[in-house]
Amino acid sequence: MLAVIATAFFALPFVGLLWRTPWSDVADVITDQSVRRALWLSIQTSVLATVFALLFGVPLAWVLARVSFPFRSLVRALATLSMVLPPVVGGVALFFSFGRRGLFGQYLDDWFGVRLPFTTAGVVVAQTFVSMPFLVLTVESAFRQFDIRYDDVARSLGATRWHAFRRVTLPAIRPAIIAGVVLAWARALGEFGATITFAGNLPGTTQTMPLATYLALETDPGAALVLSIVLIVVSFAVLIGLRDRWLGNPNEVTRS
Amino acid sequence: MTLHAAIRVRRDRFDFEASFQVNDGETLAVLGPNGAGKSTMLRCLLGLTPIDVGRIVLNDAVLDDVDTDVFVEPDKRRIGAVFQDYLLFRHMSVVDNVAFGLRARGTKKHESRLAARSLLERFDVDHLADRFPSQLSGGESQRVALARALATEPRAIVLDEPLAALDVTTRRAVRDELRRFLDGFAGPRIIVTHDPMDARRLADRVLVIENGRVSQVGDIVDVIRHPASPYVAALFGDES
Repeated sequence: MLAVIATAFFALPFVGLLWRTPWSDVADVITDQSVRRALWLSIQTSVLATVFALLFGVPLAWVLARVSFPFRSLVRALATLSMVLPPVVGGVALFFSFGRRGLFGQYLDDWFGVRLPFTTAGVVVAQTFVSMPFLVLTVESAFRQFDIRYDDVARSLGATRWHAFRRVTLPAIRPAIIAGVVLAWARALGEFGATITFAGNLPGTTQTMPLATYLALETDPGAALVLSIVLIVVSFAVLIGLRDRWLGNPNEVTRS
Repeated sequence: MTLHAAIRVRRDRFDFEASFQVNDGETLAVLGPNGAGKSTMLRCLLGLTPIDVGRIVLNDAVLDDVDTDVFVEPDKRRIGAVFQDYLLFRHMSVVDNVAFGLRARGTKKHESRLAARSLLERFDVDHLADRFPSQLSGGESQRVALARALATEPRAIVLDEPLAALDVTTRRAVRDELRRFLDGFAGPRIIVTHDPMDARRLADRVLVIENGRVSQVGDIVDVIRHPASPYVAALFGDES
């Protein structure tokens, strides 16, 4: 009975959303210049943020799982802090660290001419900040569960450490990497709090879909509904596409 | 041409020391209770666990020498290994498992696969080439693991509890097969086991390890006749 209530709880909001969507306006809204800009910006930034999360998150996950060093649990807590932190707080923290007057941001500006706040790069930074922990946690646990003796086998067969990692460890934990990527990407796509706090809400530069949706809710609720539908469709398309392509039977998808 | 090892490893409460020699064409069985240090010994030979004292020499090549700071990386040792549970790479087909060592050493994909297929043929499992490890029986897995270990033409071969994963009915047949395989390998052979029957059927000599020390070493027949410790006596109890 409680499970039924839980299911209803998850399902009802979508029913409400679909019910109130002004379907006749859909074409107008999604062909709207500013909406398409926001959608395109969202896709670009969330994909970039996911790429960064992958690039830095996998090595970090490996170190956390395999290398024992002092303060390891502290580093792990730090790496996952932004997951439990209210995103707005993350945004404020980013602002006072990497903002133009921030502790580190002023040097970024002075030395490299890099300004993050209110730029598209800032959006990517904010999204990476909140989404990377999802990837790190998922991948780290996979590294831990992976039987390290497979690495030993590879080494005894003549593989260097790197070759063993690339050809044995990584393929073995691929499902976890895919899952981490999907989680991180979904988080980045939906990111609101840190983005609006750190990068602002400039149409075309930092106004992503969630920001546009929130803004539309105040001026044109119909558009907000359509924007929500678009976000849902994009998310679902990616989830289903990935599931069929990557998360099937691992015995069947690998052909090296 | 021999494998010669005199090694000591110390970790926390664990202290293992052994020295032994295995000649070409000879099979040494390493017997001992669980936790005696048998697997550690194999890991030392393979370079997967560094030794604290001693040296390991295979033929003329020094693999390990603590005094002169020589340590050959595991991938350069050329010791073929079959691990407990076989540990076939589950995300690779059988033929790619066998080709793995050649690929790791830089052989082209096509050549590696050809070589792997002819090895599989030698072990009578070429019909399994495109299967995945999860689809193999225990005996088939062993053949593939042996083929994989042989693909890179190792100079010595070590097997860690190769029969432990099998059920009683297949165990005997696979053991006989393993015997034929060992006889056909020209270099030094080492097999780690806790089963005295494996030692009797497969090995020429036995090395018994108890509590991290060698308690007895010698020809299998001599060891059975003159057990040096209560453990060895109990092990071969019904036969002496």
